[in-house]
Amino acid sequence: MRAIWKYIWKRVLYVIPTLVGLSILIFILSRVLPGDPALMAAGPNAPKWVVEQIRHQLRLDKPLWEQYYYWLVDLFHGDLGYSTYTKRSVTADVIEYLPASLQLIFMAALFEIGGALALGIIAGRYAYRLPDNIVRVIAYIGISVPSFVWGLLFQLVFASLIPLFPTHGMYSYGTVPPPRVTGFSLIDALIAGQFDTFVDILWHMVLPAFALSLGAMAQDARIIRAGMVENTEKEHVSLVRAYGIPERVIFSKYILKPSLVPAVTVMGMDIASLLGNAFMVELIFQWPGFSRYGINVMLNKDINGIVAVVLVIGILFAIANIIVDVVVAYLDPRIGRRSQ
Amino acid sequence: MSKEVLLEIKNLHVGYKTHMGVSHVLNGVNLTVHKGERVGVIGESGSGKTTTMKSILRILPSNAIIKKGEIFYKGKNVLEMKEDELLNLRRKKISMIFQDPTSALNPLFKVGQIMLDIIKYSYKLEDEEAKEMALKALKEAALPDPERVFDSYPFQLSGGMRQRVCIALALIGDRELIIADEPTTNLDVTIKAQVLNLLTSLVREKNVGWIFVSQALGAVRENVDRVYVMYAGNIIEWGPSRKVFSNPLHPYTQKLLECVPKLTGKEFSKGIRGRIPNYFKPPSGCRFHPRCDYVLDECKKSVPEAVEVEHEHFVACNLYRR
Amino acid sequence: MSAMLALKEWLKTIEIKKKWYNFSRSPLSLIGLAISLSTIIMAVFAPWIAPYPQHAGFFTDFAHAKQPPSWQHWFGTDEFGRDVLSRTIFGFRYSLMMAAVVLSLVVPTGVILGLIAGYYRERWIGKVIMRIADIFIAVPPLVLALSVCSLLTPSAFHAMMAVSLMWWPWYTRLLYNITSSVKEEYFVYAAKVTGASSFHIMFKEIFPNAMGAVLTKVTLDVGWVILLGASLSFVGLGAQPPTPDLGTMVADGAKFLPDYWWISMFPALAISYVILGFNLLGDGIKDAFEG
Repeated sequence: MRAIWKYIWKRVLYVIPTLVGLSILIFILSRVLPGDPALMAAGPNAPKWVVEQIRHQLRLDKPLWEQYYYWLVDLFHGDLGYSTYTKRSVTADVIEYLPASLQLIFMAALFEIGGALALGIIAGRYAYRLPDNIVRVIAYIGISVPSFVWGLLFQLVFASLIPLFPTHGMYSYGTVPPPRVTGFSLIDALIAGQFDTFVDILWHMVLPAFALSLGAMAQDARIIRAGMVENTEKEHVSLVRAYGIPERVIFSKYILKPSLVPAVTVMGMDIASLLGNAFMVELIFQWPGFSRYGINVMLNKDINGIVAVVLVIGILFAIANIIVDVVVAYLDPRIGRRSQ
Repeated sequence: MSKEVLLEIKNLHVGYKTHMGVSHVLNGVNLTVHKGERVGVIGESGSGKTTTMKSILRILPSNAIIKKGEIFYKGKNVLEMKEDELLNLRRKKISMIFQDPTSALNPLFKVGQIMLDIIKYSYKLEDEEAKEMALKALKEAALPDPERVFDSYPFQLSGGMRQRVCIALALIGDRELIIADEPTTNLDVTIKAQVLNLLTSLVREKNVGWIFVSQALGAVRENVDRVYVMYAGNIIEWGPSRKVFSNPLHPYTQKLLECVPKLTGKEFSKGIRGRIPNYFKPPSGCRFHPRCDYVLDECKKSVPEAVEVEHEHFVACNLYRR
Repeated sequence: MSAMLALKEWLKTIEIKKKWYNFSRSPLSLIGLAISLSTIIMAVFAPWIAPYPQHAGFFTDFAHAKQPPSWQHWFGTDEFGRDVLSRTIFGFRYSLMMAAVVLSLVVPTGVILGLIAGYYRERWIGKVIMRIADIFIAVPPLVLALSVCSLLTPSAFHAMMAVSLMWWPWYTRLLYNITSSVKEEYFVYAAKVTGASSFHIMFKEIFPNAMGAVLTKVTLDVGWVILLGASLSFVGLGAQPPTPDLGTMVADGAKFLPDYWWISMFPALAISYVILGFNLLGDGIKDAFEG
């Protein structure tokens, strides 16, 4: 157990300089690339002194290193700077919008893992037979069709043809949002005891979460399937078979577990695709989340907003990757212990 | 014949389906093991020894096809056994030691987990009793500190220890036949002798039937009652170990024995020219004929019948046909 | 230059016939090849293939706006009365151009940096390169590309630059991994012993071993880059209207869902079609090299 903690600690230590580097990269890009954020924020018809005032407020009149230094100092005070788009602290924006996105991505991840396991195991179990071929076709479609196309397709199908799931927003018309406690509307609804609202939110999450999950689901299903086919022919499977362990146990234990390791290993990539695709999916389903906020700050050239969005997603991605690494280390005892 | 026949393989033909076509590996293998008898199988790599051994327990890879033949275990055809009979055979009667202990143990499970599973499904025991049985087997396989081994992952053990674990698995319960498929090939030279001595003494002590597949001809000669020589999917010569080694009849056996470097000798053998045939298009007739120095016309036409040249010493070669 | 030499030598050493045999054994690979070729042909000959080539850019014919698919307009017309099929065919041009520009910038850069980093993995240069690559990979590529595009003025060209900026580390990583392992092989020692220069070893001894992996990745990446480009323009941070970019067309048409579905759905299908083609092709090449 202590080995695992040491391992996590090592991963965290490794990722910190990378995140600092990321902050420098995006900070410099946001200040160096052509285009005037102050002018953009003030609007095309604003008088010159207003633009200058905003420029001063954003510290754009200072040298670059000084800007970064003060940004870093503010960051340690929990302040991500002033947003020219929402006209308030970016920190407040992050707190307001992030939980909705996390909630959506979490549900998408559940769909993804569940779907990938089901499809991958079926394909692996019936390799080279009809179910395998069907899964292969599904997987290729899942990989090739972009998440925003799924989103639009769902809009088309569910908005008019089969009105089974809602296609916009987080609440049905007339539903009262629960009082904000954690920011996670699902949890808040439970805290407030509003079970109808809870179900309503879940209902609204189904389509966007599904659209978000399909690409990664397809990719992972293929990896699980390939692992199963490969492991079926391994000598260690011959051994347990030679000693009379029943086929169903061989399959669900001795073949499945090693097949999951590579699938979990690429989960980091899947999370990247979830975090990225959330930008389009939240836009399509008008989900009041962090990614939609991200698009808005980008379209408004809100530099503090942009830096915060990149950095927060970088941190989420890093945390997710560390979790993935720990799960891999848990599944495969050789990882993280070999050094001892 | 007074001895009771334990295992009898008759005219076994096995091939593998690949994308390049079917490779015809086993080409009519015949092999008999009597109760408590120690039988050796020798031959080059790729001659079909492992395929033959895996056929006995029906654990061939999924692309293998058994085209023809029978494998009788105490008179019952293994190839026609139903699920429960087959499981019983694998759980209580025959055990197998694999060539490479590293790939034969699932790297993601502790030795104990694998052993417990095997014991529990074989003997329907509680955890406690099963563990006791496993520890006893590990101790028998001369593993120091069986508790620790039981609680280790395979990667935490040395190659020699891993193979001892596999030997321990093969010893669980009272087996009637132990198949050892090149049990020392993948071990360090210094460990080979230890593991081999352990195995041979255990086999002798328990008086079980033993098939010892190996390329270590010296080890085979000393430790088996009868020996089979395999070439390209055929048994080409068999008989009492003493007779085969001192009086090899088949040109292939003669060459094979010459290949063993002798510490006293000054010259190295020239080896055998050519190589094991392509199983996709095996040579007609005797599969050794393209490499044989004494090839006759009929060798190219038909597979030679076995002839008993001296008492219980058989050879499948046209040179000995009367 | 040396890359060209390496390519020539590599073409000699790989058995093209055997690879093609492996490749052509799988019907999926052949379908992928056919799809990919068809999109390339449509992109190259768009002005001749498209039924209304003048509809690609600024063009309005409000009398025929939002017409459903018909014999005159197979994919219907958009809100300006432009032929969706023609615009989709031109859309392949922009998608494939994006892929071509991005990959021709990114592959050489990433490969060279990866070779250097892998070859000098114990020295500071290798470590610095990999640390910088890590920074660019620390965030999903789409997010950083979106940010860079938004900081510049959104356009097709800037989208290509932004994607290129995000994409090189993947090739650096690939080459780093291959180089680190191949470096320990005997033939590399042999070359060192005979006094070959580091440059020679990197490009002529090590690089040919990575060709199969690079080729596979390039093919698969055509699909991913197109997806990324389409995502950028879908959000409004890539190519701007009236460019017949597939992502832009989907975003524009989405406003008219569900009644005028054809305006967005056909370009959306076209994006999926290209990505599918290059995915199948990439998998086919991978199997051909591994099989």
